[in-house]
Amino acid sequence: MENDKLKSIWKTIPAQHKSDIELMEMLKERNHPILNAIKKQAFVELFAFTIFLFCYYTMFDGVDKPLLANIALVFAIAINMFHYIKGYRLQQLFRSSENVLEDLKRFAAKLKSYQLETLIAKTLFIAGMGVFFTNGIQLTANKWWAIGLILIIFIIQLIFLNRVWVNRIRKIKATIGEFENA
Amino acid sequence: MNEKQFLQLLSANQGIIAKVCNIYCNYREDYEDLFQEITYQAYKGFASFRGEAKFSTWLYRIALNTAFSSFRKKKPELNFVADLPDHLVYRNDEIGDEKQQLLLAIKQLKEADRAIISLYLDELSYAEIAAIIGISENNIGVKINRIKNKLFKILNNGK
Repeated sequence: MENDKLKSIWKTIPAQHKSDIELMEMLKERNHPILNAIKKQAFVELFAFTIFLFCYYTMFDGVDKPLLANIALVFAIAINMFHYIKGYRLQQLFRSSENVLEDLKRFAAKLKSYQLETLIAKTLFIAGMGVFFTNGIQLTANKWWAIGLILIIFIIQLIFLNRVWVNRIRKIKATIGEFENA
Repeated sequence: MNEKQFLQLLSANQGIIAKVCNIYCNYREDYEDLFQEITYQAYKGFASFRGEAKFSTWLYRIALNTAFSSFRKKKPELNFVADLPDHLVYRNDEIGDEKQQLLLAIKQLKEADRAIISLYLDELSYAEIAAIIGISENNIGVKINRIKNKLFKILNNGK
């Protein structure tokens, strides 16, 4: 196949034409499929965290625990809420400024720092929960086993979560490499 | 930001978004999601469009950038062969065999190569392609030759 023929075939590939009304609907954030999915998940989690913060003081004996344990719990939850909002903002962010290569490098760096923040936020969350719920209770052997089991489940979850981020960053870096290598 | 002006430009250049979606998506649902993501990103960034470059060039950059960086639902990897079952791959029925063949061949290239060849096939100059991608014109020239050879090889069934 000749060069020019390739170009002429390429140019005649028909695009499914979208009407102005369809295009206008696409400009609305509420119609955005990915942002909507993230927003729904973030809303559910933020709602659950908020309810928990309103109830824990009386329902989970926050009133009887030391101030530091209460602060640790509230801090752990607040960090996670902030992190969810940041994740949403990261996806919502306009990602293009100079050229594809520079923008991809910048985006990979942002994802890398978000990945690290995710790990820190999740670790702080479990640490804050641990400090609050283990404070003032008699730790028997069974309870230590239970804590150990919770920690193992948490670490496994963290590893899987981290793998998702690593794969995503690796994919973007691979594309950067493809552009940079002659 | 003038929404009406943006919509006019977008409507006239929506073929660019469709082409980018065509080369990076294997499923109809994926195609529609990416189309919307690009449209949304372009709208958000329209305020930064100064008109120094052509709108089509600017939109190409946004579209490629979004295709590379957006979250897309994980789908099984596909190995493109000559005849793919219709239910597996998003096919535009209006596309003839030659066009379908070219699209499938482009999809077998690396992601970065797909971007460069689509810009080349749309007859953008080396300088324009270099500005969109962010590498030198010389490098673009070398890459285009290599990608074309690879593409011809795929189209000629590896001969």
